[in-house]
Amino acid sequence: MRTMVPARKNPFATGRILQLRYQFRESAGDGWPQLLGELKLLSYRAAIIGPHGSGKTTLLEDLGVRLQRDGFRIHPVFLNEQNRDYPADFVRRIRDHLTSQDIVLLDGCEQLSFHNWWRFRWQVRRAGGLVITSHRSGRLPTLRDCETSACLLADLIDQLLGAASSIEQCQVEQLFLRHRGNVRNALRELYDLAALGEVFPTRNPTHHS
Amino acid sequence: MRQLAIQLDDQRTAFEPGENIQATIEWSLPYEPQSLEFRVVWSTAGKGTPDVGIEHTTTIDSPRQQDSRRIELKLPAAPYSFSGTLISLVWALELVVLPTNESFRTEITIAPGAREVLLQRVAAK
Repeated sequence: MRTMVPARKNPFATGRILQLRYQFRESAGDGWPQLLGELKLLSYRAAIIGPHGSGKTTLLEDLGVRLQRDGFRIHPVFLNEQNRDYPADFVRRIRDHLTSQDIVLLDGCEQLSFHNWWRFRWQVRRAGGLVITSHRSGRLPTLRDCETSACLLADLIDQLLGAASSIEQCQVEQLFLRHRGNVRNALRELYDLAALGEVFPTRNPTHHS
Repeated sequence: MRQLAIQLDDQRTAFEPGENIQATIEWSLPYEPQSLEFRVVWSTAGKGTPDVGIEHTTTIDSPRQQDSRRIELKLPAAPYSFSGTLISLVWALELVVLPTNESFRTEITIAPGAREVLLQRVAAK
C-alpha cells in the first residue's frame, strides 16, 4: 500500500506551482529581451491572450517585476469570475496620479463588459502603459498568445519534482488532452495522484525530449 | 559575506503549544540594514491558495552589519501544526532584513506532544 503524502510535501501544492515562472520558447528565440522590446514598440499598451490555465497571469506578474526593475510604477488589478465588479476603488485611487512612469496591469480583462472596458481604458489613459490579460484578442494589440503543450506540461512536472518524473510521456499527453490544454487543471489532477503516492521522482529520465 | 541564521537551543524544532523557547539569531551583511525582524509565522500548504499569518514580531532597529541576539518568547498555543492530504498548517521562524526582504526561515512544529497532528483519511462507506 502506498503511503499518503501530506499536503506540505506534495510537489504539486499550489504554493509550489505559484513559484513557477513563465516558460518562454527559447528554441524559437523568445525571451525577456524580445518581449520587452515588442512591448516598447507597442507603446506599452498590449494584451496577453490565451485560454484558462495557459500562464497569462504568470507572464503578467513576471512582466510587472521586470517593468519595476526598469523604473516603472506598477498598478496591478485582478478580475475573475468571482470578482467581476468594475474596479471603481482601484481607479479612484490611482487615476489622478498617473504619469508616463505608471503602467496598469489588468488581469482578467474579459470580465469587463464592452462598456466597462472602454470606461476603464479612458479612466487610466494618463498611464504610460496598460497591459491586460484576456481569453481573446481584440481589445489591445497582442503581445503574447500563451500556448500550452504536452512538452511544456512535462517540463513543469520535472521542475516541480526536481527530477524526471515517474510519469510516462504518453501519460503526460493524455493528461494534457484530458484537460484540453489547461495546464493548471492538469497539475491539480497530479496533486491528487501525488497525495496518494502515485507520482514520484525517479533517478533516470523516462520520457520526452 | 552574507549570512542569516536562527539557532534554536538544543537544536530542537518541535515544541508544545505555548512553550517558552530560546534562540540565537545571527546576521552578517555587506551593508547596514534599516532593521531586522524576527517573526513567528504560520502558513498553509496544499491544494488551495496558501494563507499566511504573522503571530509574533520582534524588531531590531538600526542593527549593525554583523551581530547576534538572543531571543526568548512564548510560542502560540494554537493553531497546531497539522497535515492532511489536502492541507497542512506549517509554523516557522523567520529572520527578515528590511528593506531588502532577504530572509532565513526554519520550520518548526507546534502541537501536543511536539508532534504534528496527522489528519487521517476516512474510508468511504
